[in-house]
Amino acid sequence: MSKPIVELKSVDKSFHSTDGTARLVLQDVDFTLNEGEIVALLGQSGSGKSTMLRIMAGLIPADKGQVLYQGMPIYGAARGISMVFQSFALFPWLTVQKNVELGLEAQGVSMKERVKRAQAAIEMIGLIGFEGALPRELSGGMRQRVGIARALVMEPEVLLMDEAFSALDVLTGERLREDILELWNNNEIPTKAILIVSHNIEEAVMMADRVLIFASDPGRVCAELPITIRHPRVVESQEVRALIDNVYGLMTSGTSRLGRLAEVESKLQLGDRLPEADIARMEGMLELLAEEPFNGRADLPKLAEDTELTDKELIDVSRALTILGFVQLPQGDVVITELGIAYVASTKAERQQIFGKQLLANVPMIAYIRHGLEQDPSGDLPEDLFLKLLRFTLNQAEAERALSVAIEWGRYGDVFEYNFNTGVIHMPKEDQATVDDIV
Amino acid sequence: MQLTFIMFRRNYDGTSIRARSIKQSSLSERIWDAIIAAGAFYALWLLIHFIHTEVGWGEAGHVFVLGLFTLSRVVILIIIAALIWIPVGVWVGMRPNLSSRVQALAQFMAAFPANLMFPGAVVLIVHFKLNPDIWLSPLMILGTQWYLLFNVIAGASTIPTELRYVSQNLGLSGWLKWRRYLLPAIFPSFVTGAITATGGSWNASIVAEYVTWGHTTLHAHGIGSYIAEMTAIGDFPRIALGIGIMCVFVMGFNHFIWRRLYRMAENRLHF
Repeated sequence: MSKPIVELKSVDKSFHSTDGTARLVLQDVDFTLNEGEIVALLGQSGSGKSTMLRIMAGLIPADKGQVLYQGMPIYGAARGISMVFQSFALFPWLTVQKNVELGLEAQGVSMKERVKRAQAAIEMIGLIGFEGALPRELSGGMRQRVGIARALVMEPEVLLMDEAFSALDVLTGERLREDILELWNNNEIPTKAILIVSHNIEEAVMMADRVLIFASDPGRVCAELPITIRHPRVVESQEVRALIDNVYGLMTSGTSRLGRLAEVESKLQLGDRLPEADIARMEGMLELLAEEPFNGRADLPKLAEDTELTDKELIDVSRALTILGFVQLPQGDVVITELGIAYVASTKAERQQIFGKQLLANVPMIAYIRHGLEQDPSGDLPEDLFLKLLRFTLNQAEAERALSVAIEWGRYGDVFEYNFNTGVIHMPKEDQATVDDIV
Repeated sequence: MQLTFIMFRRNYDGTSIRARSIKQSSLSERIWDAIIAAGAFYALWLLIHFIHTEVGWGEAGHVFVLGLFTLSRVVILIIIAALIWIPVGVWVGMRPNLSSRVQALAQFMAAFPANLMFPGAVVLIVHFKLNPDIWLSPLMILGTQWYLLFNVIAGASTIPTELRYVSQNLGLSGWLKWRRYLLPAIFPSFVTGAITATGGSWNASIVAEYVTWGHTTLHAHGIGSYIAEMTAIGDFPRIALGIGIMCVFVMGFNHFIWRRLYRMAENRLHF
């Protein structure tokens, strides 16, 4: 049963940005996808999961290491491996039928055979009646059905799903997921293994026989969790809930403890990306946590339900709150700290003061900017300076994102101000003195 | 300075009756329409009268035939340019670190005055005793073909990454890949570039179909050389006739060909 079908052996991959700096996206990744299993790959965005998937599909080459399919190295896209994409990636000028047929057409399958097989796939995935529709006429859920039909019509041995359900609403995503599981469990498709990249923890736990957790910078597998619960799985059941809890625990601590074993409770570094959490959301979550029924302690999955945030958003917010010292995250739970309680009880102005103080103490990037501004006689510095600094460790888009988060936080904490039009960061204007008091 | 700003300041807000929208009186609009219509009819009458008395219908027909010559040149040249620049543009557009550099080069080439090359062409045509009706034609598109190139590059570089991966994953290759994926993907931007390039080529025909270098003058049969010749003589009525008929050609071409293609691109071929 556990015959390897796709193997990655110590694979490295880096990307070169336009200015020539290389950034390691995958480091020393070992992974085996076996016959008869569904594997889910979880991790933060930017951790290189999608890159790994594309390497497995032969769409991009690895820099180092080996990629084997059926024991043979691959040099390009392999016919037995089909992929489903987050953005659906349908050809907008082709009808549903033509989109589904396209792969067969490329293999030189005869017209008659093509139509027959495409029809079968369309029927299997529930698209009958839509053959003549253009993708833009369809809803997101229906579009992804086309994407799945297009992959399945190739009768792939390996099905790779790159955030296939992330762009869909919860209900539609669930429906599609169940459809795939049904086809898989009833052996209606010849597919021998499925790999799902996701950031939805519930999705991973409901579908997979094995969950891998990816750590970022550079990306690598940092934890593995086999799931033996039989299908069909029930979300509400004890064992599924416990597993989801467990994965949340691994994910939240995974960024620090599992990811970098060498470091002790990894402090944030100067060039690290900041969790993308906006302030209103952070305060909202803190207030929710302080109130009934949580009274300061909550289960992350429970909180995800109550706040209706996605897993990524929730993890980002809780990481941000942890960095600032407002909460702690022991094993998949969120616990409010003394400071967090004091924060919730404060007035608006006091909150901003506390926020600013915590920023300076805990976010090196912001402290660095503030220090720079204090040293500079004019009290203002161009943002490019800091962007350049961040570019040492992050790529352009990530650096910009990190700086924009730092600016949003810094503005709120009254640590510095920023003029968008001039791109200059400067000291808060009127109240130099009060800021000094805070510091 | 201060004063002018004060003059434009409004002292009331939306609660004042002065802020109500004032309806255009339909009478003034009608009068305006009438003036324009009268002007158009007068111009048309002038043209007909002029053709009737000064040049004769025979010459108008002749100029129209010359227009057809130039039209066929424009069409053939655009097709040739498309065959060359679409593959190049797609190839470049798919490579982000190359495309910005090639874009800059194409923009420079488009800005470079193409007439500087004309004397060279004259020397070659005279030396090899080539037929100017054919060999002067390429000069028309020398300066305008670059619009095709940089529009195709821009089009190719906006193809979504995941779509590129799909084409790879499905194993698309050869003519199928062009027909089902690349050509439809760049079609809207190709049409934009082609409209600019053809418009420019019509204009360029005036200088390209009638080229003088030293004592040698070469000319090809076409509406461009007709206009250029009349300009050299200073026959204003015939210049007007030539330009009028060229305008009819350009607008007809835009209306019947490009507008349709453009609408098709808008409706079906975008991401």
